[in-house]
Amino acid sequence: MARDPIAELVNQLAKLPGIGEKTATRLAFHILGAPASYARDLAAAIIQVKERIVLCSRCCNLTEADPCIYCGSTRRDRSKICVVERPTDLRAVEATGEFRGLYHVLHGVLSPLEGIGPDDIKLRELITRLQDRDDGDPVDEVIVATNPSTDGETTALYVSRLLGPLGITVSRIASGIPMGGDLEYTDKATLGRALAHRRTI
Amino acid sequence: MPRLDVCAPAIVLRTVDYGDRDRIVTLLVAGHGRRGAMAKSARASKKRFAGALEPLRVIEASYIDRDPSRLATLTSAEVIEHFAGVESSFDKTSLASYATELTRELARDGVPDDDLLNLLVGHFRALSTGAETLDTLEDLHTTFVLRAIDGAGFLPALAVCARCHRDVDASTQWRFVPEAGAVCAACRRPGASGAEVMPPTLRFLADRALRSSGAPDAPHVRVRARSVLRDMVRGMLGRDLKSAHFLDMVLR
Ligand SMILES: [Zn+2]
Ligand SMILES: [Zn+2]
Repeated sequence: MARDPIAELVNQLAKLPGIGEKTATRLAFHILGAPASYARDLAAAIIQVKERIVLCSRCCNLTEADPCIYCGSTRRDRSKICVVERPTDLRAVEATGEFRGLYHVLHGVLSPLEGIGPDDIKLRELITRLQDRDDGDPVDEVIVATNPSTDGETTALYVSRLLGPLGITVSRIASGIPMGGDLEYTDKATLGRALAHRRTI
Repeated sequence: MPRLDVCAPAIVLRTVDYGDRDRIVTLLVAGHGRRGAMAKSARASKKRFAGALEPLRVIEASYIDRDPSRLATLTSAEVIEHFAGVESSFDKTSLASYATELTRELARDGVPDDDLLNLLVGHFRALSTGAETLDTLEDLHTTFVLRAIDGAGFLPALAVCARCHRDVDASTQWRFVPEAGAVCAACRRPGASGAEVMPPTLRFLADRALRSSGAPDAPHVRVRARSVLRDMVRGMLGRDLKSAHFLDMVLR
């Protein structure tokens, strides 16, 4: 038996992250009240994103063309790879304009407490890429830019342990007191880390 | 039930993101046992609980408890002790995570268990400041697991036969039955499960249940003890811990 179409739309929208039943209902009625062309464009955009976006075979970034614009570019520094958790993190790093190297997207982080191991994220792809010295990029440094959470740190430590034998320098993005922060109100763990990783000026 | 304001040391046993803004945490709280709490806006504003809603550190948690059958509301959380030695080592992080997950399984909602909390904090401290070789790391790990299981009342017999209580010695064959422990040849039930185990392995484990270091043991004893310990946890929970995979990466 076919479901009531409004209920079905609410049900599908409510599966989106951060969308509860109430918001889903509001969105459903918004779509219902909009011109038919809007509904068609929205549906087409959703289908297109699934049909046309693939994972880059080198860096696992989401892309329409494989290799992606970073891997395919001749103007990037091919000796550095910045490892990030998600495609949105790649965009954040790119937006700084401070990094001109290549990327690798893990699509997650290791989490001992949740049983997420090396085979559950795109780590094997990173190793394969780095071992492929003939055909691959002359990488001498891997910068791990996972979040400064327990799982992000665990992932960084694991990458370092994995790449050590390949003779590649593994570095970690700095973490500590944010700009505009206040030492007095910084938690012990963050302040301790900031002190441990201080730099000469 | 009246509103209860709690402010006590705690350890985060798990975090689960909820929606775009919030985070649900499972805590082991001093004097209050295991407690689930909602950390409103924990993800939206990094300032609110800055760094405190992560496992492997001791925090001071303040929360409002209105109904034990529902999530408490976390009002503040502050790191009071962190373990730099653990944070900077993959091996130590893996072992500390395994200990945290075992604690999560053994702790009970609303049942105070400060012995378990203190055991876990002591374990983090020992991992962080000492233990520079893999053997000493494993000794700390083994002692923690045995003591945690013992505290929960599930420690199987290791120094004597679980059935007739004769001392473990070399005069007979021994088997390890996960739910009971060491069983001598005379007490073994025909067709019963349980792998053969040598007396030195049982003595090694019995010794580690009491203290985290002792006489050095042959590598094969250590390896065998490792699998008996795993059988013990599996027998108690009916499955492996999720972090067991990380343990295997460390203790090879
Ligand atoms: Zn790419
Ligand atoms: Zn017996």
